[in-house]
Amino acid sequence: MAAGLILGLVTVPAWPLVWRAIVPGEATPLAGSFAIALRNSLEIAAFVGVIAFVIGRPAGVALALYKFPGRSLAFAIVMLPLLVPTFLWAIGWSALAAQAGPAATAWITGRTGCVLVFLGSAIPLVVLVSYAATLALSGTQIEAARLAGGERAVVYYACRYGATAACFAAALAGLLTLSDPGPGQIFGRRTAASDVLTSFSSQYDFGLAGRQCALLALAVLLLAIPLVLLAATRLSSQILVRQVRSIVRISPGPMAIGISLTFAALILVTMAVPLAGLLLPLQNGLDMTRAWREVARTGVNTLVYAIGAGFVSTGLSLLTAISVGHSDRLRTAVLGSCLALFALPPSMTALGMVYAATSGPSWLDWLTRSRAVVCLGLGLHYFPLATVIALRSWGTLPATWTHAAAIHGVPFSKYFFKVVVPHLLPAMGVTLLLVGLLATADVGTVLLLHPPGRTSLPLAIFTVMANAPESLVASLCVSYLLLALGLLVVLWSLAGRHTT
Amino acid sequence: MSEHTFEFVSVTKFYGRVRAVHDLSLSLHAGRHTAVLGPSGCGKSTLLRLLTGLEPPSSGTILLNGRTISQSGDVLIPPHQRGAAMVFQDLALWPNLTVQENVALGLSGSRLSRQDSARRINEALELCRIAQVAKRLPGQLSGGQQQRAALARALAVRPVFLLLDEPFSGIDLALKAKLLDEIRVLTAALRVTLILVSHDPSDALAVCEYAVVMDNGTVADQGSMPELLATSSLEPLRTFRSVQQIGK
Repeated sequence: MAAGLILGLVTVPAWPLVWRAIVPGEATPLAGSFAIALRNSLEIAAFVGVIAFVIGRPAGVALALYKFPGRSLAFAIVMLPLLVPTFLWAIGWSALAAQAGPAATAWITGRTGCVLVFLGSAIPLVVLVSYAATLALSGTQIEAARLAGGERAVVYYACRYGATAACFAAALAGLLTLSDPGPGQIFGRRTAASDVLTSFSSQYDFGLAGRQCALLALAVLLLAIPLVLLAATRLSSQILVRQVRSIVRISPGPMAIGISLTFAALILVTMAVPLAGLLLPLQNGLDMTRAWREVARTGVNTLVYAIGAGFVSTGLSLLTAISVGHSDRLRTAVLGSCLALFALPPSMTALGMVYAATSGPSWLDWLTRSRAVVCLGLGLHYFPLATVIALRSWGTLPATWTHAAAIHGVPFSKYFFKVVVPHLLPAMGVTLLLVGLLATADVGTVLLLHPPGRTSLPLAIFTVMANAPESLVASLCVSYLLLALGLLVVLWSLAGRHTT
Repeated sequence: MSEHTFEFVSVTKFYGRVRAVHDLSLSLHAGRHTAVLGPSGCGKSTLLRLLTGLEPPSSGTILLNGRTISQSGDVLIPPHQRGAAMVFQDLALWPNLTVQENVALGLSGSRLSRQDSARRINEALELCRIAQVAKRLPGQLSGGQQQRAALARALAVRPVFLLLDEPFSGIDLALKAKLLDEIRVLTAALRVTLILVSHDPSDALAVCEYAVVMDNGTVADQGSMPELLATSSLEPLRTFRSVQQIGK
């Protein structure tokens, strides 16, 4: 009941927009060209989903099962694109293609360019989920498979075990591309998300943007809901479980070098190549003075948005996990709802909040046009992700601890702060940092909600990339990447401590 | 103490569609150490959860000294007001608190003054012979010390009934024998009645004089331990008797 209420409240900001979109005569009718944009988006999503599964699935299993030279570093670097706005990679690919000549530009454009860029964040998502699903196997299960049929049996069993989770992650990664306007705009491919952005920020047609957004959300839900219904139960057992006796990683012998090289190739394609493109303009000079001035101007806002979003997501997810308790059925239902919510376009919530701000009384402007609203919008977007981590962490809290407290009549507040909070603290810290990092990379929500003059660093890059000198854009991108890398290292060490 | 009696009247408990306990009627008297025996999945642990009020019955009534404490779907008296403490199968020690803090937090529902609370904690730690490791975390203790810590936490509240939910699974035979012996001495000294849930009749034989045998969620047999051991054809007593005969 309480969990349902929280999930319902999370969607509240989108309601006014949906209402406006479905009431006849309230908004400009949709043009047929939006159907083409939607089709383009679905096409890109399908390509991204399939390729991400084919590459990410074995990569995730290999990371979980094998020890090989540079394993931890490879994992950290593969994850980096998740924390960087996709438009940065799009700029990188685009700059590289321009440098390589017309043939390359002709190839890396439109759909191909979009797919390449989106794969950068889709593959890490599939890798991460495959890795988590494989770790849900116990050490003894792996040993049993080894005894039964050697290493081949282990790989076969591990691949089969987490297949549903990986398949779902790939589908989710595909669906997430539907709501990202950046690559489409840079590579000149008309997509549904870029149409929504254009309707709102260039044509100032709020009603049209709302209607497009609602249609996009409907398409996403039509695809996501059957997947969630089919996969939620399996996902619940594969992702939310932590084994008491964890896997002992296998040393693959001579194959170790091969695995390391495969990961190096993966990093090269998803990261190093577009990064080289980003760095190319630095040949003309490094404009770090202006870049750092921009970082200093936007740094505080970026930090406030990241921390605020982290607190909103972590707080709400903790409440949800507590209200779910140890009921398997509720856990599965909440997990399914969260995955469906996460696939929804974030612009829907953001546009709903903008609509509420414009229709609300002006004396509330101090609140509705403040940085707090950006934090709320970002926090609500990443709430489903935070909830998955909270549910996983809550699942490791044995029910008998609560029963022992109940039998002894320990007051709930005392039990909560002395036992539950210390147990959940590492996971909450990781969630806070992860959501903070993801929120830092978000451009769409900040673009729609930020108060005048309060831009974040990625939004500043997004705004100046078309007009500023290439060297400045490149310097800004490098600054951002360095910051993201630093934060990723902090996250990694925290997560590592939590896992051990 | 002797008037402290739990009574189950036609109690049934469902978990979803699974029926864990079916039309169970039973009395558990203070002063009579009772073992609840039966194969895995027969409803032994559910019986304890119903008795402590951790779960309400789906139907039927549970009485304490003639007063209804649980009835269909309702827990009328909360767990900590039933005069029962419990040692769980996984011990359920709170891992981030030291042994002393575990016992102290276990006492926080008893509304004692600070001095009384400190005295009770020390008494419990001394009785269970773990005062020397009181400042350690559960993870830093041996298996036997963990068992004693869980026992100290349960005994500190001075319960009328001490419920043991298969707490000896996973520990070696010598340690089990030693712990059972200590429990027998402690319960006699503190005048606490044991309710021991086990699938192993030898555990029950060491500390209990009365036994209830459960099968398929209901009471299949009950009586004094020697009598049941001699006559009952139910598992696990039948196997126990066969093993004893082979031994002879």
